[in-house]
Amino acid sequence: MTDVGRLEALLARVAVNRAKPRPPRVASSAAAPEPAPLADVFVTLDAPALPDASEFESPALHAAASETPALGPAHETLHGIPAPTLPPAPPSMMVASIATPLDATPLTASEPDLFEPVPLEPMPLASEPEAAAARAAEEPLLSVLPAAFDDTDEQDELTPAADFDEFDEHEEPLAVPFDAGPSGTDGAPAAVFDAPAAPLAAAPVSPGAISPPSEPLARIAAPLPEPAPTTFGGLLRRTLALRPR
Amino acid sequence: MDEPRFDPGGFWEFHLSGGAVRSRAGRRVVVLPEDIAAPLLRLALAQGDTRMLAQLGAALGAEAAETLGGDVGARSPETVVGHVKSVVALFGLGRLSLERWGDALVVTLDGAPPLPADALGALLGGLLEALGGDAARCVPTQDGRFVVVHAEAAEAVRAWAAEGVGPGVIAARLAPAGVAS
Repeated sequence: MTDVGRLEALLARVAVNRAKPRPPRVASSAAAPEPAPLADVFVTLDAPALPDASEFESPALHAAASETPALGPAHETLHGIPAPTLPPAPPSMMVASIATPLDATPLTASEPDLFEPVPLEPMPLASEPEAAAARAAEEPLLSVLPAAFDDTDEQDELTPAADFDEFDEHEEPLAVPFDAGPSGTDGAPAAVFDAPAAPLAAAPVSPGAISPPSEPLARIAAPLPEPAPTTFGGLLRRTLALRPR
Repeated sequence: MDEPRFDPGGFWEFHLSGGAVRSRAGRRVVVLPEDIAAPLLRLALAQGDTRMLAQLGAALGAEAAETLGGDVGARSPETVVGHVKSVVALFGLGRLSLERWGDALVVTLDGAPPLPADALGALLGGLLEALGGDAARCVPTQDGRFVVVHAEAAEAVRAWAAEGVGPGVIAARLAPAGVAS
Protein backbone atom coordinates (compact mmCIF):
# COMPACT_ATOMS: atom_id res chain seq x y z
CA MET A 1 0.00 0.00 0.00
CA THR A 2 1.34 3.37 -0.97
CA ASP A 3 1.44 6.45 1.18
CA VAL A 4 -1.50 7.91 -0.70
CA GLY A 5 -3.54 4.79 -0.10
CA ARG A 6 -2.73 4.79 3.60
CA LEU A 7 -3.68 8.45 3.80
CA GLU A 8 -7.00 7.82 2.11
CA ALA A 9 -7.80 4.98 4.49
CA LEU A 10 -6.86 7.12 7.48
CA LEU A 11 -8.99 10.05 6.36
CA ALA A 12 -11.92 7.74 5.72
CA ARG A 13 -11.61 6.25 9.19
CA VAL A 14 -11.47 9.70 10.75
CA ALA A 15 -14.56 10.76 8.90
CA VAL A 16 -16.41 7.65 10.03
CA ASN A 17 -15.37 8.23 13.64
CA ARG A 18 -16.55 11.83 13.47
CA ALA A 19 -19.89 10.76 12.22
CA LYS A 20 -20.39 8.33 15.09
CA PRO A 21 -22.06 9.72 18.22
CA ARG A 22 -19.59 10.00 21.08
CA PRO A 23 -20.41 8.42 24.41
CA PRO A 24 -21.05 10.82 27.26
CA ARG A 25 -18.02 11.54 29.35
CA VAL A 26 -17.87 10.55 32.97
CA ALA A 27 -17.21 13.12 35.57
CA SER A 28 -14.15 11.30 36.92
CA SER A 29 -12.47 11.62 33.60
CA ALA A 30 -13.01 15.32 33.36
CA ALA A 31 -9.48 15.98 34.57
CA ALA A 32 -7.98 13.62 32.05
CA PRO A 33 -6.24 15.40 29.20
CA GLU A 34 -8.19 15.66 26.05
CA PRO A 35 -6.82 13.88 23.04
CA ALA A 36 -4.50 15.81 20.91
CA PRO A 37 -6.19 17.91 18.30
CA LEU A 38 -6.27 16.56 14.84
CA ALA A 39 -3.97 19.21 13.62
CA ASP A 40 -1.20 17.87 15.82
CA VAL A 41 -1.73 14.39 14.44
CA PHE A 42 -1.29 15.58 10.91
CA VAL A 43 1.75 17.54 11.82
CA THR A 44 3.29 14.41 13.25
CA LEU A 45 2.62 12.62 9.99
CA ASP A 46 4.77 15.03 8.11
CA ALA A 47 2.06 17.45 7.21
CA PRO A 48 4.06 19.73 4.87
CA ALA A 49 4.38 16.83 2.44
CA LEU A 50 0.66 16.29 2.17
CA PRO A 51 -0.90 17.05 -1.19
CA ASP A 52 -3.75 19.40 -1.54
CA ALA A 53 -7.02 17.73 -0.47
CA SER A 54 -8.85 19.13 -3.46
CA GLU A 55 -6.89 16.88 -5.73
CA PHE A 56 -8.44 13.75 -4.31
CA GLU A 57 -11.39 12.45 -6.24
CA SER A 58 -12.66 10.03 -3.69
CA PRO A 59 -16.08 11.24 -2.26
CA ALA A 60 -15.15 9.98 1.18
CA LEU A 61 -11.89 11.86 0.96
CA HIS A 62 -13.68 15.00 -0.07
CA ALA A 63 -16.02 14.71 2.82
CA ALA A 64 -13.15 14.12 5.23
CA ALA A 65 -11.28 17.02 3.82
CA SER A 66 -14.22 19.31 4.21
CA GLU A 67 -14.57 18.35 7.87
CA THR A 68 -10.81 18.41 8.62
CA PRO A 69 -9.73 21.67 10.23
CA ALA A 70 -7.08 23.66 8.59
CA LEU A 71 -3.52 22.50 9.24
CA GLY A 72 -1.52 24.58 11.62
CA PRO A 73 1.74 26.19 10.70
CA ALA A 74 4.16 23.27 10.57
CA HIS A 75 7.27 25.29 10.89
CA GLU A 76 6.46 26.33 14.41
CA THR A 77 6.21 22.75 15.59
CA LEU A 78 9.51 21.79 14.03
CA HIS A 79 11.46 24.59 15.57
CA GLY A 80 11.02 23.39 19.11
CA ILE A 81 11.43 25.54 22.19
CA PRO A 82 13.89 28.34 21.67
CA ALA A 83 16.82 28.40 24.11
CA PRO A 84 16.42 31.02 26.81
CA THR A 85 18.75 33.89 26.46
CA LEU A 86 20.79 34.59 29.58
CA PRO A 87 21.56 38.13 30.51
CA PRO A 88 25.22 39.00 29.95
CA ALA A 89 27.38 38.64 32.98
CA PRO A 90 28.55 41.80 34.59
CA PRO A 91 32.16 42.73 33.83
CA SER A 92 33.18 42.25 37.43
CA MET A 93 32.18 38.56 37.45
CA MET A 94 34.03 37.85 34.22
CA VAL A 95 37.26 39.36 35.52
CA ALA A 96 36.97 37.34 38.71
CA SER A 97 36.49 34.07 36.82
CA ILE A 98 39.60 34.68 34.81
CA ALA A 99 41.79 35.83 37.64
CA THR A 100 41.03 33.00 40.07
CA PRO A 101 40.80 29.36 39.09
CA LEU A 102 38.04 27.20 40.52
CA ASP A 103 40.18 25.47 43.12
CA ALA A 104 42.58 28.27 43.83
CA THR A 105 42.67 29.86 47.17
CA PRO A 106 43.06 33.57 47.24
CA LEU A 107 46.38 34.91 48.30
CA THR A 108 46.47 36.58 51.59
CA ALA A 109 48.57 39.47 52.58
CA SER A 110 50.62 37.41 55.04
CA GLU A 111 52.09 35.09 52.38
CA PRO A 112 55.10 36.29 50.38
CA ASP A 113 54.71 37.25 46.83
CA LEU A 114 55.72 34.32 44.64
CA PHE A 115 56.96 36.58 41.89
CA GLU A 116 59.16 38.64 44.05
CA PRO A 117 62.82 37.74 43.53
CA VAL A 118 64.49 36.15 46.49
CA PRO A 119 67.93 37.59 47.16
CA LEU A 120 70.72 35.00 47.06
CA GLU A 121 72.90 35.09 50.07
CA PRO A 122 76.54 34.13 49.55
CA MET A 123 77.63 30.79 50.98
CA PRO A 124 79.69 31.11 54.08
CA LEU A 125 83.36 30.52 53.41
CA ALA A 126 85.00 27.55 55.08
CA SER A 127 87.30 28.44 57.83
CA GLU A 128 91.02 27.87 57.47
CA PRO A 129 91.10 24.70 59.60
CA GLU A 130 88.26 23.20 57.59
CA ALA A 131 89.99 24.00 54.30
CA ALA A 132 93.18 22.43 55.55
CA ALA A 133 91.26 19.32 56.51
CA ALA A 134 89.72 19.15 53.07
CA ARG A 135 93.11 19.47 51.42
CA ALA A 136 94.47 16.75 53.66
CA ALA A 137 91.65 14.46 52.61
CA GLU A 138 92.54 14.94 48.93
CA GLU A 139 96.26 14.58 49.30
CA PRO A 140 96.45 10.75 49.06
CA LEU A 141 94.84 10.83 45.66
CA LEU A 142 97.14 13.55 44.48
CA SER A 143 100.18 11.68 45.70
CA VAL A 144 99.28 8.57 43.69
CA LEU A 145 98.64 10.19 40.37
CA PRO A 146 102.08 11.66 39.73
CA ALA A 147 103.77 8.36 40.42
CA ALA A 148 101.80 6.72 37.70
CA PHE A 149 101.70 9.40 35.06
CA ASP A 150 104.45 11.83 35.70
CA ASP A 151 107.43 11.64 33.42
CA THR A 152 110.06 11.31 36.08
CA ASP A 153 113.63 10.18 35.86
CA GLU A 154 112.65 6.71 36.97
CA GLN A 155 110.33 6.51 34.01
CA ASP A 156 113.22 7.36 31.71
CA GLU A 157 115.24 4.56 33.14
CA LEU A 158 112.60 2.10 31.98
CA THR A 159 113.02 2.90 28.31
CA PRO A 160 113.67 -0.29 26.34
CA ALA A 161 117.37 0.18 25.91
CA ALA A 162 117.89 -3.36 27.13
CA ASP A 163 115.30 -4.52 24.69
CA PHE A 164 117.27 -3.03 21.86
CA ASP A 165 120.34 -4.98 22.94
CA GLU A 166 118.31 -8.11 23.13
CA PHE A 167 116.80 -7.41 19.76
CA ASP A 168 120.20 -6.84 18.21
CA GLU A 169 121.36 -10.23 19.30
CA HIS A 170 118.65 -11.89 17.24
CA GLU A 171 118.68 -9.56 14.32
CA GLU A 172 119.43 -11.74 11.36
CA PRO A 173 119.51 -9.12 8.63
CA LEU A 174 122.76 -7.70 10.05
CA ALA A 175 124.51 -10.88 9.01
CA VAL A 176 123.25 -10.52 5.47
CA PRO A 177 125.57 -8.82 3.00
CA PHE A 178 124.29 -5.80 1.23
CA ASP A 179 124.14 -7.52 -2.10
CA ALA A 180 121.58 -10.00 -0.84
CA GLY A 181 118.62 -7.87 -1.60
CA PRO A 182 117.19 -4.41 -1.60
CA SER A 183 117.42 -3.83 2.14
CA GLY A 184 119.25 -6.87 3.39
CA THR A 185 116.26 -8.02 5.37
CA ASP A 186 114.70 -11.40 5.35
CA GLY A 187 111.14 -10.29 4.88
CA ALA A 188 110.65 -8.87 1.43
CA PRO A 189 111.74 -9.89 -2.03
CA ALA A 190 113.46 -7.53 -4.37
CA ALA A 191 110.81 -8.01 -7.01
CA VAL A 192 107.64 -9.96 -7.45
CA PHE A 193 106.79 -11.21 -10.88
CA ASP A 194 103.09 -11.46 -10.84
CA ALA A 195 100.74 -11.50 -13.71
CA PRO A 196 100.26 -7.99 -15.08
CA ALA A 197 96.58 -8.13 -14.21
CA ALA A 198 93.94 -10.76 -13.79
CA PRO A 199 94.80 -13.90 -15.75
CA LEU A 200 91.82 -13.42 -18.00
CA ALA A 201 92.83 -9.90 -19.01
CA ALA A 202 96.58 -9.86 -18.73
CA ALA A 203 98.23 -6.81 -20.21
CA PRO A 204 101.95 -6.62 -21.02
CA VAL A 205 104.11 -4.58 -18.70
CA SER A 206 107.16 -2.69 -19.76
CA PRO A 207 110.38 -4.52 -18.90
CA GLY A 208 111.58 -1.63 -16.80
CA ALA A 209 108.93 -2.32 -14.23
CA ILE A 210 110.70 -5.42 -12.98
CA SER A 211 113.93 -3.73 -11.98
CA PRO A 212 114.24 -3.46 -8.20
CA PRO A 213 113.75 0.12 -7.16
CA SER A 214 115.89 0.16 -4.02
CA GLU A 215 118.66 -2.17 -5.06
CA PRO A 216 121.20 0.57 -5.95
CA LEU A 217 120.86 2.09 -2.48
CA ALA A 218 121.78 -1.21 -0.88
CA ARG A 219 124.83 -1.71 -3.02
CA ILE A 220 126.59 1.58 -2.71
CA ALA A 221 129.74 0.08 -1.19
CA ALA A 222 129.64 -3.04 -3.30
CA PRO A 223 130.70 -3.39 -6.90
CA LEU A 224 128.03 -2.48 -9.37
CA PRO A 225 125.97 -5.55 -10.07
CA GLU A 226 124.87 -6.63 -13.44
CA PRO A 227 121.42 -5.40 -14.29
CA ALA A 228 118.66 -7.87 -13.75
CA PRO A 229 117.69 -9.71 -16.90
CA THR A 230 114.52 -8.56 -18.48
CA THR A 231 113.54 -11.92 -19.89
CA PHE A 232 112.29 -14.95 -18.11
CA GLY A 233 115.05 -17.07 -19.62
CA GLY A 234 117.71 -14.68 -18.39
CA LEU A 235 116.37 -14.68 -14.87
CA LEU A 236 116.14 -18.43 -14.81
CA ARG A 237 119.65 -18.92 -16.12
CA ARG A 238 121.10 -16.52 -13.57
CA THR A 239 119.31 -18.26 -10.76
CA LEU A 240 120.44 -21.69 -11.84
CA ALA A 241 123.99 -20.44 -12.04
CA LEU A 242 124.09 -19.73 -8.31
CA ARG A 243 126.09 -21.97 -6.06
CA PRO A 244 126.87 -21.89 -2.36
CA ARG A 245 129.66 -19.48 -1.58
CA MET B 1 108.15 -8.63 -29.17
CA ASP B 2 104.44 -9.14 -28.85
CA GLU B 3 103.50 -10.66 -25.55
CA PRO B 4 100.72 -13.18 -26.04
CA ARG B 5 97.80 -13.10 -23.70
CA PHE B 6 96.47 -16.16 -22.08
CA ASP B 7 93.02 -17.17 -23.25
CA PRO B 8 91.31 -19.59 -20.89
CA GLY B 9 88.41 -20.05 -23.26
CA GLY B 10 88.31 -23.57 -24.64
CA PHE B 11 91.22 -24.70 -22.54
CA TRP B 12 89.28 -27.81 -21.58
CA GLU B 13 87.47 -29.92 -24.14
CA PHE B 14 84.75 -32.12 -22.74
CA HIS B 15 83.93 -35.02 -25.03
CA LEU B 16 80.69 -36.15 -23.51
CA SER B 17 79.99 -38.84 -26.06
CA GLY B 18 83.39 -40.42 -25.50
CA GLY B 19 83.53 -39.62 -21.78
CA ALA B 20 86.88 -37.90 -22.00
CA VAL B 21 88.35 -34.55 -21.04
CA ARG B 22 91.29 -33.14 -22.91
CA SER B 23 93.33 -30.01 -22.54
CA ARG B 24 93.92 -27.58 -25.34
CA ALA B 25 97.21 -29.30 -26.12
CA GLY B 26 95.39 -32.61 -26.54
CA ARG B 27 96.47 -34.17 -23.29
CA ARG B 28 93.79 -36.31 -21.70
CA VAL B 29 93.15 -35.53 -18.05
CA VAL B 30 91.17 -37.21 -15.31
CA VAL B 31 89.26 -35.06 -12.90
CA LEU B 32 89.68 -36.39 -9.40
CA PRO B 33 88.37 -35.04 -6.10
CA GLU B 34 91.04 -33.55 -3.94
CA ASP B 35 90.45 -35.93 -1.06
CA ILE B 36 91.17 -38.84 -3.39
CA ALA B 37 94.06 -37.45 -5.38
CA ALA B 38 95.98 -36.19 -2.35
CA PRO B 39 96.21 -39.61 -0.62
CA LEU B 40 97.36 -41.18 -3.85
CA LEU B 41 100.14 -38.64 -4.18
CA ARG B 42 101.10 -39.06 -0.53
CA LEU B 43 101.34 -42.78 -1.02
CA ALA B 44 103.75 -42.27 -3.86
CA LEU B 45 105.76 -39.79 -1.83
CA ALA B 46 105.96 -42.20 1.09
CA GLN B 47 107.83 -44.53 -1.20
CA GLY B 48 110.23 -41.77 -2.14
CA ASP B 49 108.84 -41.36 -5.59
CA THR B 50 108.49 -37.77 -6.68
CA ARG B 51 108.65 -38.49 -10.35
CA MET B 52 104.89 -38.46 -10.67
CA LEU B 53 104.64 -34.93 -9.34
CA ALA B 54 107.60 -33.83 -11.41
CA GLN B 55 105.84 -35.20 -14.46
CA LEU B 56 102.69 -33.34 -13.50
CA GLY B 57 104.70 -30.14 -13.22
CA ALA B 58 106.30 -30.84 -16.57
CA ALA B 59 102.89 -31.27 -18.07
CA LEU B 60 101.78 -27.95 -16.65
CA GLY B 61 104.89 -26.27 -18.02
CA ALA B 62 104.30 -27.80 -21.42
CA GLU B 63 100.75 -26.48 -21.43
CA ALA B 64 101.98 -23.01 -20.53
CA ALA B 65 104.70 -23.13 -23.16
CA GLU B 66 102.10 -24.16 -25.70
CA THR B 67 100.01 -21.12 -24.89
CA LEU B 68 103.09 -18.91 -25.06
CA GLY B 69 103.82 -20.07 -28.56
CA GLY B 70 107.26 -21.44 -27.80
CA ASP B 71 110.44 -19.51 -27.02
CA VAL B 72 109.50 -19.09 -23.42
CA GLY B 73 112.90 -17.77 -22.40
CA ALA B 74 112.54 -14.69 -24.61
CA ARG B 75 109.30 -13.64 -22.99
CA SER B 76 109.08 -11.16 -20.20
CA PRO B 77 108.85 -12.60 -16.71
CA GLU B 78 105.38 -11.12 -16.26
CA THR B 79 104.05 -12.75 -19.38
CA VAL B 80 105.46 -16.15 -18.55
CA VAL B 81 104.21 -15.97 -14.98
CA GLY B 82 100.80 -14.88 -16.18
CA HIS B 83 100.49 -17.91 -18.45
CA VAL B 84 101.94 -20.35 -15.98
CA LYS B 85 99.75 -19.23 -13.12
CA SER B 86 96.71 -19.45 -15.37
CA VAL B 87 97.49 -23.03 -16.30
CA VAL B 88 98.19 -23.95 -12.69
CA ALA B 89 94.93 -22.37 -11.63
CA LEU B 90 93.01 -24.20 -14.34
CA PHE B 91 94.35 -27.46 -12.99
CA GLY B 92 93.19 -26.42 -9.54
CA LEU B 93 96.63 -26.47 -7.99
CA GLY B 94 96.71 -23.01 -6.43
CA ARG B 95 97.90 -19.50 -7.19
CA LEU B 96 101.47 -19.29 -8.40
CA SER B 97 103.73 -16.27 -8.05
CA LEU B 98 107.39 -15.59 -8.78
CA GLU B 99 109.68 -13.41 -6.68
CA ARG B 100 113.27 -12.32 -7.04
CA TRP B 101 115.50 -12.15 -3.98
CA GLY B 102 118.79 -10.75 -5.09
CA ASP B 103 119.84 -13.02 -7.93
CA ALA B 104 117.69 -15.89 -6.80
CA LEU B 105 114.17 -16.67 -7.89
CA VAL B 106 111.57 -17.75 -5.37
CA VAL B 107 108.22 -19.34 -6.19
CA THR B 108 105.11 -19.20 -4.04
CA LEU B 109 102.04 -21.35 -4.45
CA ASP B 110 99.08 -20.17 -2.38
CA GLY B 111 96.02 -22.31 -2.03
CA ALA B 112 97.79 -25.46 -3.10
CA PRO B 113 96.32 -28.90 -2.38
CA PRO B 114 97.23 -30.40 0.99
CA LEU B 115 100.45 -32.02 -0.06
CA PRO B 116 103.86 -32.09 1.59
CA ALA B 117 106.13 -29.21 0.73
CA ASP B 118 108.64 -31.55 -0.91
CA ALA B 119 105.92 -32.83 -3.20
CA LEU B 120 104.94 -29.34 -4.24
CA GLY B 121 108.61 -28.55 -4.73
CA ALA B 122 108.95 -31.50 -7.07
CA LEU B 123 105.93 -30.30 -9.00
CA LEU B 124 107.34 -26.80 -9.35
CA GLY B 125 110.74 -28.13 -10.32
CA GLY B 126 109.23 -30.14 -13.11
CA LEU B 127 107.30 -27.10 -14.24
CA LEU B 128 110.40 -24.93 -14.42
CA GLU B 129 112.30 -27.60 -16.26
CA ALA B 130 109.59 -27.69 -18.88
CA LEU B 131 109.96 -23.90 -19.20
CA GLY B 132 113.63 -24.12 -20.00
CA GLY B 133 115.24 -24.37 -16.60
CA ASP B 134 117.57 -27.31 -16.92
CA ALA B 135 118.04 -29.22 -13.66
CA ALA B 136 115.88 -26.75 -11.78
CA ARG B 137 114.86 -27.64 -8.24
CA CYS B 138 112.52 -25.86 -5.89
CA VAL B 139 113.58 -26.18 -2.26
CA PRO B 140 110.83 -25.33 0.24
CA THR B 141 111.55 -22.97 3.09
CA GLN B 142 109.76 -22.76 6.37
CA ASP B 143 107.81 -19.66 5.34
CA GLY B 144 106.06 -21.54 2.57
CA ARG B 145 108.25 -20.36 -0.29
CA PHE B 146 110.33 -22.35 -2.77
CA VAL B 147 113.84 -21.26 -3.68
CA VAL B 148 114.77 -22.06 -7.25
CA VAL B 149 118.26 -23.51 -7.45
CA HIS B 150 120.26 -25.83 -9.63
CA ALA B 151 120.26 -29.49 -8.71
CA GLU B 152 123.89 -29.20 -7.67
CA ALA B 153 123.05 -26.60 -5.05
CA ALA B 154 119.83 -28.16 -3.92
CA GLU B 155 121.23 -30.19 -1.06
CA ALA B 156 123.04 -27.26 0.54
CA VAL B 157 120.00 -25.07 0.23
CA ARG B 158 117.80 -27.79 1.62
CA ALA B 159 120.05 -28.01 4.68
CA TRP B 160 119.80 -24.26 5.22
CA ALA B 161 116.08 -24.34 4.87
CA ALA B 162 115.86 -27.13 7.42
CA GLU B 163 117.65 -24.83 9.87
CA GLY B 164 114.97 -22.22 9.38
CA VAL B 165 116.93 -19.94 7.12
CA GLY B 166 114.73 -17.75 4.99
CA PRO B 167 114.94 -16.94 1.30
CA GLY B 168 116.84 -13.69 1.88
CA VAL B 169 119.67 -15.35 3.74
CA ILE B 170 119.75 -18.25 1.32
CA ALA B 171 120.06 -15.81 -1.55
CA ALA B 172 122.91 -14.09 0.27
CA ARG B 173 124.72 -17.37 0.74
CA LEU B 174 124.58 -18.08 -2.96
CA ALA B 175 126.82 -16.59 -5.58
CA PRO B 176 127.32 -17.11 -9.26
CA ALA B 177 129.36 -20.14 -10.03
CA GLY B 178 133.09 -19.40 -9.86
CA VAL B 179 132.72 -16.45 -7.46
CA ALA B 180 134.28 -17.17 -4.09
CA SER B 181 133.28 -15.34 -0.93
